[in-house]
Amino acid sequence: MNDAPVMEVRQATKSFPGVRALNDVSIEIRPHEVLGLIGENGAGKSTLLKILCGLQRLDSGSLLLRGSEVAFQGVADANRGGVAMVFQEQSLLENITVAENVLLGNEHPSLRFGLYRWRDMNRRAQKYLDLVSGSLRAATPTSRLSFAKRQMVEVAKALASGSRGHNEPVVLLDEPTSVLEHSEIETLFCVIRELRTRASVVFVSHRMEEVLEICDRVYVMRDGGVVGECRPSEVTTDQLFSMMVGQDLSAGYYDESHQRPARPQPRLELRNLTGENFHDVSFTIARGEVVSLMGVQDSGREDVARAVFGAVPTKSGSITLDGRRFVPRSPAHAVRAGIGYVPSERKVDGSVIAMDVCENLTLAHPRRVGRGPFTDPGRERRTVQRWIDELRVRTPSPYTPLRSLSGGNQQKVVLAKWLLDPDLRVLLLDTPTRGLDVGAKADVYALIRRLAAQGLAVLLLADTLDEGIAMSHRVLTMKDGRLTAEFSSDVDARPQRADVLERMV
Amino acid sequence: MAATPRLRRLHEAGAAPLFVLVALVVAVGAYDPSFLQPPSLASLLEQAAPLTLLALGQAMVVLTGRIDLANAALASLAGVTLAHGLGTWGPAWILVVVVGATLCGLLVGVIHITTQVPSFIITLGFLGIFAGMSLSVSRADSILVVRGYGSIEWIFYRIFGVPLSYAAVLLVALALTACMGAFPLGRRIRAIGLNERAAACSGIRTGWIVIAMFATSGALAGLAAVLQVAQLQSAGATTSDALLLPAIAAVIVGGTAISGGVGGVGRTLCGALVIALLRVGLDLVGIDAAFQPILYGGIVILAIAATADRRRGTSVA
Repeated sequence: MNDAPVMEVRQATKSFPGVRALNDVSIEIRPHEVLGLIGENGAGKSTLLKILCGLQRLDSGSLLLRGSEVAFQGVADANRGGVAMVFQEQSLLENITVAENVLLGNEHPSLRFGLYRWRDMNRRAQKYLDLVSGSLRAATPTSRLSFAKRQMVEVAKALASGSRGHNEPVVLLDEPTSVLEHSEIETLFCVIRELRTRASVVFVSHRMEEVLEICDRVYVMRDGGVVGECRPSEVTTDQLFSMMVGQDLSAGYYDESHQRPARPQPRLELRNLTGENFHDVSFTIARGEVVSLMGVQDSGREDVARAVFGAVPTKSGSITLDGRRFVPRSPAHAVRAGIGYVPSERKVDGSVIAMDVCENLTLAHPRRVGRGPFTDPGRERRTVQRWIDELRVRTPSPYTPLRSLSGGNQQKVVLAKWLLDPDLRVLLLDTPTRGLDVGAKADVYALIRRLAAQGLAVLLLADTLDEGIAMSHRVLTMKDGRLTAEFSSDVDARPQRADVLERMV
Repeated sequence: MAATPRLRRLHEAGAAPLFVLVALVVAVGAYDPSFLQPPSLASLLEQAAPLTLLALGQAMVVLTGRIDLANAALASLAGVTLAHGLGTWGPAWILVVVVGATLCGLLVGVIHITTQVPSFIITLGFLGIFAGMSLSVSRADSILVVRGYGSIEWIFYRIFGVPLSYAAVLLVALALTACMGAFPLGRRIRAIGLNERAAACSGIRTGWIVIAMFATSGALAGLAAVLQVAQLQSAGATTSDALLLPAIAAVIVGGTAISGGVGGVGRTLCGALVIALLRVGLDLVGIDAAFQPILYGGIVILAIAATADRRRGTSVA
C-alpha cells in the first residue's frame, strides 16, 4: 500500500485579530484512512479544516496536495483538486431535488443550451448517492428528507464535488454528528467506513467516544497547536482527555473515584406513573443516588422528568417525595417542594440568556438572596460571587449577560440556580452536558458527584451511553414509554454497553 | 471603540428618552420663550397626566411581551361610567369605577392566559367590547358632570403652581418603580418578557404575573379616566380612545422594547412627556391637529424599526 500522504500541512500558522488560531501545525492525511481531529472549542480544528478546503489561506507554512504545493483560491478550487467539505451547518437547499443539490455548482455536463437534462442529471447524482446509502433517490425533493438523510446527501455532494479529477477525493467532515441521533450516527459511521475504501476522510469532533470508534489515526489539538498523535486502539478516554485539556485528571473523566454509595432512605418514588408519552413508570431514587434514565428519542424519558417537575400532566400513578405524597401542579409548585430541573435546551428553556449571570442565578430562589420579601443587592452580589468562585464560572463580572459566556459556564450558572436552595432535594438533569467542551463536561460530572454525596437525589437523562453508565448508581432503560430494564452500576462493576443498548432499541 | 459601549450603556440605562426630552424642551422654548414660563409648563404636565397613566399601564404589559390595545377604550368606558354615576353615588363612585376598571383588566388577562390566544387579538376584541359599552352607557352623547363635580374638581388644583394631578401620576410611577425594584417581581416580569419558557422552568408563575400586569393596566386606565373627567367636567364615549396610539408611542419612545423584557417605569415617564411636548410643539408651530395621529403612527413604526430585537438572543426563535 502506498503510504505517501494525499495531503499535507507543514508548519502552518494562521492569525486572526487578537488570536493566533494555528501555531506551527503540521499534519498529514494518508490515502484510505479516517483521520480524526479532536480538541475543545477554540483549539483550532475548524480553522485547520477551513484551510484544507480553501475557505481560508495560511499566513505562513505550506499546504501540499499529492506532493505538490498548492494555494487554493476558494472552495471551488479545492473541489477541482479533489478536496470537498461537509459543513457543520447543513447547506442543502430545501426547495430543489436531491440531484440538484448533489450536483450544485457541478451541473455543466448535464446541461444542454443552459437547460437541465434531467435524466442525465439524476443518473449522475444517483451514482454518488448509491455510494453513500441505498435508500436515497435522486428525484426526491430535499425538503422531504429527515435531518439524518440530508447529512447523507451532504456526503454524496462532497463526493461529487471532490471526484471531478481522476484522483481519489479527500472528504472533510466538520462535526457531522452534532445534530444526529444515536442510530443515525451508527448509519453515518457505516457510510464513513464505506467511504474509506475510495477516499480519505477527515473527521472532526469533540466527542471522544466517536473519534475512538471511527478513526484510524487521531491528531489532538489544543490552543492552536497539535499536541499529540495517536491510534485509537492504543489510548484510553482518560489519556485522550488529558491531552485535549492539558491537565491530568487524578479522578478520571467521570470522576468515578468520588462515587459514594447511596443512602438507604428513598427520596423520590414514582409508582405506576402514566402520562401522555409514558406508561406505568415505577422507580425509586434514594438520597445520594444518581439514576440514569436511558432511552432513544421518543422513548418518553424527557416526559417522565417533566412530569415530576409539573411541566406535563399525568393521568394516573403517584409521586412520593421523602415519604410524603407529592402531586406536582406546576413547575412553581415543584420548585417550592425542592425539585430542580435542568432542561436540555439550555438557551430556550434553561436560561434567559439576555439577562446577566446574577439575574439568572437568582431567578428561581430570589428569597435566598433577599431580606424577607425584599431584594437585597448587597447580599445578592455576595452570594452570587460565592457561587461563581465555587463553581469556577469564568465570567468578567456577575453582571455580564449570560449570552457572552461559553456554553459550559452558562450551564454552571443554570445548575447554580438550583443549588442556591439549601432545601433542594431532587435534581432532574436532561442532557446537562450536551454541546459542552470536555473540560466543562468534566466539571459538571464532578459537580454531580459532589451533589449526590451531599444527599441529593439525581435523575440523569444522559447524552451518551457512556456518560449514563459511568455517572450513575443505577441505569434504567426505557422504550416506547415503558421501563424495560434496570442495571445496578457500581464503580468496579459497570453494566455492559451492549446490554443497556439492547434494552433501549 | 471606547465611546460605543458608554453610549450603549447610557441607552440601556434608559437615558436616551431623557436627552430627547431635554432637547425638545430647549427647541420649543427657543421657538416660543413664553413656553418656559411655569404656568405653561404646569399646563403641559396636566395635559400629559392621563396619557402618562395609560402609557405606564401599557409599559407594564409590554414588559411581559404582550400588548394592551383595550386600555384607552377601557378608560373611555370608565369615564362615561364615572360621569354617569358621580351625581347619584358621590365620591365613593370614584373608587367603584377604578376597582371596576381593575377587574376589567383582570378579566382580559385571565382570558388571554386561559385561552392562550395572543394578547393582540384578545385586547383587540375587548377594544370593541369596551367601545360598545361606552356608547350604550353614554347613549352616544357626551355626559356633562353637574352634580358631584366638586368631589373630583380638586384634582386639577395647583399647589404653589404644582399641578396635583401630575403629582398623583408621579406617586403612581414611584409606587410602580418601588414594586419593580424592591421585590423580585421586576426581575420576574423582565424574565417573562425575554424568555417565558425559561421563566416558567425556573418556577415563576408566569400566568399570574401576566394577569396582574393586565389588571394594573386596567387600574391605571381607571385612574386616567378619573383625571380626564376632572379636567373636562364631562365624558364622551370616545374621549380617551385617541390616547391609544400616543400612549403606545410614549412606551416605545421611552425605550421599552415592544418584544418585552427591556424597559422600565422612569423612561416611560420621559417618553410620555416627549409625546405630550410634541403635541404642544406642533400646535405652536401651527401644524394641523389632523396630522398629529399620522406623526404618532410614524413614530411608533420608526422607533420599533430602529430598536427592535437588538437585545434579544438571536438563538431564541
